[in-house]
Order: sequence, then C-alpha cells, then structure tokens
Amino acid sequence: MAEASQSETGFEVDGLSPSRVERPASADELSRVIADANSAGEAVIPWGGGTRMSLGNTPERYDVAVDLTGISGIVEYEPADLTVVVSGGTRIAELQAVLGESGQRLDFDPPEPAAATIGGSLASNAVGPVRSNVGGVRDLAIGLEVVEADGAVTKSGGRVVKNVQGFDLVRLHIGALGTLGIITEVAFKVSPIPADTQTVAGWFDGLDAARETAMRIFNWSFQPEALAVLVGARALAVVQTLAGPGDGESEAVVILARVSGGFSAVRRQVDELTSLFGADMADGFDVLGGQDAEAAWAGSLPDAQTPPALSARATLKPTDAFAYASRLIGASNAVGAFGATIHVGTGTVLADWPGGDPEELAKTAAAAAMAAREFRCEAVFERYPSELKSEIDVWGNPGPAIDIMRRMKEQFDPKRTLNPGRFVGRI
Amino acid sequence: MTMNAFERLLFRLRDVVGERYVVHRPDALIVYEYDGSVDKHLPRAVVVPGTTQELALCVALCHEVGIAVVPRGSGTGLSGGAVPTEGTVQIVTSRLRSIIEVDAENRIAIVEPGVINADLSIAVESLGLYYVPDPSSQRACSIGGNVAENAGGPHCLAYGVTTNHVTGMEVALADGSMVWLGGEAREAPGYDLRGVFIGSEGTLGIATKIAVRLMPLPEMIRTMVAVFGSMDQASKSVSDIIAGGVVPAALEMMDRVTIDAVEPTYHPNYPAEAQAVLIIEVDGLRESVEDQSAAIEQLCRDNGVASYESSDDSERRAELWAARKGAIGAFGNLKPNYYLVDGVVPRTKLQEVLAKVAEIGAEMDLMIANVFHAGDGNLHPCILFDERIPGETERVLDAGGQILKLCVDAGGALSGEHGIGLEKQAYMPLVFTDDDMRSMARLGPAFATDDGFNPSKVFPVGEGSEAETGYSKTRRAGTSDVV
Repeated sequence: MAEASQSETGFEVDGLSPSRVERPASADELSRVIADANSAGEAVIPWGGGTRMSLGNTPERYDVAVDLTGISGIVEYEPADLTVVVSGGTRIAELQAVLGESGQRLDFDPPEPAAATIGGSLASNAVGPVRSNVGGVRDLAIGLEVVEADGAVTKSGGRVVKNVQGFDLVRLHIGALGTLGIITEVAFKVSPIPADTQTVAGWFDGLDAARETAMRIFNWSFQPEALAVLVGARALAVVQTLAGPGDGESEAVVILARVSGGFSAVRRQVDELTSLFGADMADGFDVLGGQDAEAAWAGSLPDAQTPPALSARATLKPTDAFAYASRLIGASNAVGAFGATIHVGTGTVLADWPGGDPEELAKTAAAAAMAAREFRCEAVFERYPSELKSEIDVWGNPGPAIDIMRRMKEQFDPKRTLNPGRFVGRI
Repeated sequence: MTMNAFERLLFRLRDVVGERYVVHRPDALIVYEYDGSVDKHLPRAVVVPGTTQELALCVALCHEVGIAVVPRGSGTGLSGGAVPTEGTVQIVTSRLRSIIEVDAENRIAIVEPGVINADLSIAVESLGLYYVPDPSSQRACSIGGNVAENAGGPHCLAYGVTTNHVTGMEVALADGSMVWLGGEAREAPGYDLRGVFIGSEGTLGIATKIAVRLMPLPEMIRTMVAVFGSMDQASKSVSDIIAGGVVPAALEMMDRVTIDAVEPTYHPNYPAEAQAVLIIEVDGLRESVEDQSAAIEQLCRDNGVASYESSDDSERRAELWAARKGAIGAFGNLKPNYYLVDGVVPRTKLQEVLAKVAEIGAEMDLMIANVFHAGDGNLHPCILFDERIPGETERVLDAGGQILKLCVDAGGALSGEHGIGLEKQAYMPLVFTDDDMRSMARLGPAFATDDGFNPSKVFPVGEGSEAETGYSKTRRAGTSDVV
C-alpha cells in the first residue's frame, strides 16, 4: 500500500501545506489514493519533480499532496519502432539516457531535466528549445494513461505512431495541469539523434534588426531544429560570453539557430546562416562548439538556481511575438533586469523579471497582459508574487471557450478533487 | 415530432438558405446517403448553407426541434462519418469554399471548411508554401472533413497528420453559437479544445473557419521506386529504413494484387517478378536528400531489390506516384467492390502481420490487396469482392474484423487515419474499456451537444444500458417521434 505520512515539509503550494503526503508506487495504488480522497471530499495536488509548482492560481483547498515520482521507469521500448512507453513519474533525463543508449532521443528539452518528470512536464505543458520551430511536446505524445478523479484508470490514443481511434484525450490532458486526471503513463514517438548538430549565434543591435533576420530563417525552406531570439538580460549574458565582457549594449538581441542532420546538410545550413548574419549586418556572429552551444541554450531558459519572481508566457503569430516582446521591453524599466526568449517557430515568448517590489511586479504584469491583448492573445503568468495571486487569474481570460472548459471539468471531476482552483478560470 | 413540425423546420431552413439549398425529395436525397464506406442511410433532409452564419442558424433550428444534424464535407470519408443515421438532417459545407486569409510571412491561412485540400496548396504555391496533410482523396476532400477525421496521407510520415497542422478553428455549437477553439497562434491558455475537436468525427460541432499552418516548399524532392521479388524483402526494407534512423517524407507499399490492378491502367511496367513495390520520397535540403536517398538505396539493395529507380524531375515523379495514387480506383479492374481496412501495427511487426492478413484471405477465399503507408505501419488491406453475390458483403466485413483484431493483438490501432464512425464502432472494445469510452463520451456534454451532432457514431451500439457503461449504446434516432 502507498506510504502516507503526516506533516511533511517541502510540499507547499503558494504558501499552503497539505495535511498528508501520499507516495503511490503504481497506477493502481494511485487509483486507490485518489478514489479515497474523492469520496472523502479532499483536495489533491499532484507533484512530479516539483519544478513548475509555481504555476497556477492559488489552490482553493489542499489536503493531500501526491508524490508521483514513485511511478517511474520505462514500460516498453522498441528502438526499431522509434516508440517508447514510459511511466509518468520518470525524470526526463532518465528517459533521455535510456533512449541515448540506442542512439535516440525524445525531441523535448524543458528546463531541469534531472528533476522534471515526464508527467509533470506534460501536465504543465513545459517548453524547451528543441522543435521550437515546428511544434511542442503535444505532437510527440501518441498515447496516455491517466488516473481520473473517481480512481478510474483510463487510456486514450495508442502505442503506434499514427492512431485515430476514439477521441484525442491525449491532447486534452496535456497542459490541463492534472485537473482532469493524473498522467501515469505516456507513449511517445522518438527520433534518431542526428549525426551532427551545430548552433550559430548572431547578435544584433535592437529587436527590429534581429526580427528581419529571424523571420527570414523561419521562412527558409530548411527548418532549424531550434530557433530562439534572446532579448534583454538573456541576450546580454550570451553576448558577453561570446564577444568578451564589457561588450554588448543593453539593446543587444541574440538569434540562436541550431541545425541538425547529416554532416553535409549541417555544413550547408551553417554556411547559409553565417552568410545571412553577415549580409544582414549582425554586430557579430559565431558558430558555437559543444560547451559554448550548451551554455548559450541554457541562457535561453530561466536560471533554476535563482528563479525569477515574475514569468509571463504568451504564444502569438511569429511577427506579433516580436512586436509583443518589444512592448515588454518598454514595460520593464522599473523592475530591473528583464529577459525574454522568443521561440520563433511556435511564436511562444517566455519573459522573466528577476525580482523587486511585488506591487511593481504586479504593475509590470498588468502591462504585459495588456500588451498581449493588443495582439488578441493572453499572457499566462507562470510565476507571480504569491501574496498578490488572489487578485488576478494567472491564466488570463480564455474567452467564450471557458464555458466548454468549465463543463469539461464538471464532467471529469465533479467534486473538484484534482487541483481545485488552480487552473484557468479557477476551475 | 409531427410531420407538420418537420414541415415547419423545412420552411424555416428554406428561409435561411433559400429554397434550392434544402433538399428533401427522396430521389434527390439518394446522393447524400453514402460516403466512401460501406454503410448507407438516407437523411431526412439536406441543407447546404452558403455562409457560416447560415450554417450556425441551421444548426440552431434543428437543435431547437430536437433533430440531430450530420455534418458532411465532400463525402469522401471511409468510416461512415458523413453517413446519416435515422431521422437526421445533413448539413453540407460544400458551398463554404473561401480561402479567407493567407498570411505568408507567418505561414498561416484561414479557410472555410468546404475548401478542397489540394486547392489550398495550389493557392499558396506561388508564395513558396504548401499545406502538408495530403489524404489520397486530396483533390476532392474538404479541410473541414479532414479536421473532423484528423486525416492523414502519404506525407504524414515525416510531417504529421491534420492535428499537427491546424492551430485553431471557429466552431458552430449545437445552440448555434460560434466559438474559436485555439486560433492563429500555436497555443492558447486552458484545455486544448482544438486538440479534442480535431478527430471528433463531427460529433461535437461543425468547424466554420479553420486556421492552418503552411510549410515552405522543400528545396528538392526525390521519389524512388524499389521493386522486390517478395513481400518479406519489401517489409524488411521498410523496417530497416525506419530502424536505421531515416524518416522519409513518404514510404508507401503495394503488393502483387495491387500491381495487377494498376498495370492495365497506369502501365508502370514493373518487372515480371515484382511481388511488392515501395514508393519512397525524401525531401528537404539538396544535401540531406542525397544522404537519405543513398542510405535508402543501400538498404533496399541489401534486401535484394529487383529494380530501383529514382527521379528528381517533377514530371517523372508524378508518373512514379501515379500507380500508387490511383491504386484504389484501379481495383475496379479486378472486382467491382472493395472494402478498405485501415489499421496500424508497430513497424517492426509489418512482415508478421502482412503474412497473417494473407492467411485470412486464403482461408476465407477472399482477394486482399495491400496498398498502404508502410513507413508508419498504417496498413490498408483492401478486400476485393462483388457485393451482388449474396452473403459476400458479410463475409468481407467479417474478414475485416479479423484483420483489425490482428492489428490490435500486434500492439497496433483500429484506425490510423480514417476514423471509427459507423464502420468500426463495434470494434472499439477491442482496444478500450468501458471506462476509457465513458471518459471519451464526456466530450459531448462538455460541448453541450445534447447528442445533436452525428449521433450513434464512434461508440459501440447494442448491449448494455447507459447506466452500466457510462455511455449510450442505443442507436439514437434523430428525432424521438419520427412520423
């Protein structure tokens, strides 16, 4: 039976603590835990690696923390099929290590892979640079098993790369923050690790200059496996590493393009990119070797050691993403070192502000939300000062579709057992 | 509902769309009773709205009087998704054919649901763009229908199916209200309602505007045809190519029966010993096309390929594809009818499952042709028959069921791209438990459909009450008191 213990620390969410922590070791154990909590009217908050627990509105209630890292391991892996089935509590790095032994990988690289779990990353719809030019992790999951609020263990999708059998609940649960069910198993399609990978960085004076070049790359007939534009503090850090300290203006903007494939194709793409950076009069550009490339890409993500106080995520049309990022720069003067990454292909802008007075941060957030709305899009605040969370919906306003979402929650979790209040519209 | 009430509904529908766009005379209804599958049923009436507002109004009028609607695009579906069920009114999107907007820089287009799949690619070709999903029926099928069925196609191997290329849609709900699910951007806060709507087989609503992403045309495309003296060699080559880490843009297979069917019409002139043909396409940068095609050729040679041709020339490439693209139609050269079974198996099980499919054909004395998307393990065994022979259709459906069971037992799926519809609803329990299906069936209430769209599809009908199973097993009539 699952271990349950009293008064544990380390499972706080927005300052609230659970009355107990459950650590199920299998989907069946989890099923009993959830069914019991559901009949007792208790509120459950699922935990994966705990790297994204800042996400969401303040919980309405919090009785039971469920630590899912015990439901872990590779369930089925057939390298020749390029598919893998993995338990939800498996750490991303652990999965990648197993795949790597067969020369394969999952094209998904969100921050903190050693801690983040597969299930938690899917539930919270984490993003990383890879595939940022084509699409996110939603496109890689082909099947899902979840434990629902009444304890039922259900599955959808399948284990083959192409399946349209029944409704696509896989996509429903991805990004649902565990409010409709807790992910216990995922089937993915995986890819061969490319023979060669190179990163080309180019830095520019100002966002407008970089925008033209980045959009040209976005519209090329070849697609880099990752294409990111770094703004503010993130850009400055990369420029100073590459061009030397003291270099780089505060207006510096960096384009990072990572190309992969066979050696001759990679060489050609690197040539095209460097010629483009030259022709478009970048302030500088460089082809980055292994460690430098890793450092530059790490610089495109928030620092896990010193997490920002405010983070906003918004997804727009690529050209709008640049215009929105430029509004953010204008709105950020009061709160110090602002940094942002634009994933050009998906149009996702991830912006952070390191710290400062909560009231000032809230004002900045309001400005960011307004800026997003100018482009008919909502900013989601993945981090927000806890003490002020009750004053906003960190997910923004989803528009009229909220009615369908509310009924969805009512259908799947009528007693509001799973993560009550934390998701969009305080579902 | 009394006949008068139905007459009143027709009157109101005519008021919305105009007299000539409401069809209800039985002789005129016959063309709407079927799609590309084997099931048939007459709708009670057919409405062909001319604007999305008209469409939403028609949905609302039907909903108001408790008559369910069946959405229909071009009617090319292969699982009965557009086949009317008892007492339903069919709403056809064929007049909604505008490409509303093309944003070339962001590679996004917004289209109406009746836009023909191939027409979109043709329209954006001069911008250096195309719409990737390419069902074999792409010259006839509509993008709205593609959304309903989450359609695939040969080039989905490398680039994904419809759901990977549609970023959002405006949807008419049962009460006639319209709401955007997703949008032009790649994600929106909240549940991925876009994701669940795609592939919901017309049971949740009707898409009235669809935002799709477009891709840049590749720099180079190379098509290769590899002919083998045995199915085993061809299947092994497919498995080797995938296991070798090469993911071509398309990887298709045809067997001997298919070759016999296509020879008289398309004259591909495959060598006499041909038992299986692979059509393989790679695209992208010149350099990667060269690398990938060299690797593929080597693997085919290692497996004893009998003849091998490759071309970068668009005219020759079209010729190399002609036999594959026309294969289904060419089955008419062998038998008057075919039943296409869409199932998926893990790519490492191709050889094994194809051999068992052949055994089923031999045991039941049925001619089975295989022409399919080998690269993603998506089988399409086509059972060729003559429906005029009494009892033949039943035998064919029985064989189809056995083949699906084979796929599921091998760890595969009931459908790769055609959907469940009427055709496979009885087989859903092979893969899903009552709990799984109950979970899926919650989408209807979440979308407040009131069973008003495409009733009695996807889930099994027959034994068991709703209380027992959590989803309805009764074949619901479109109206409670049909006169």
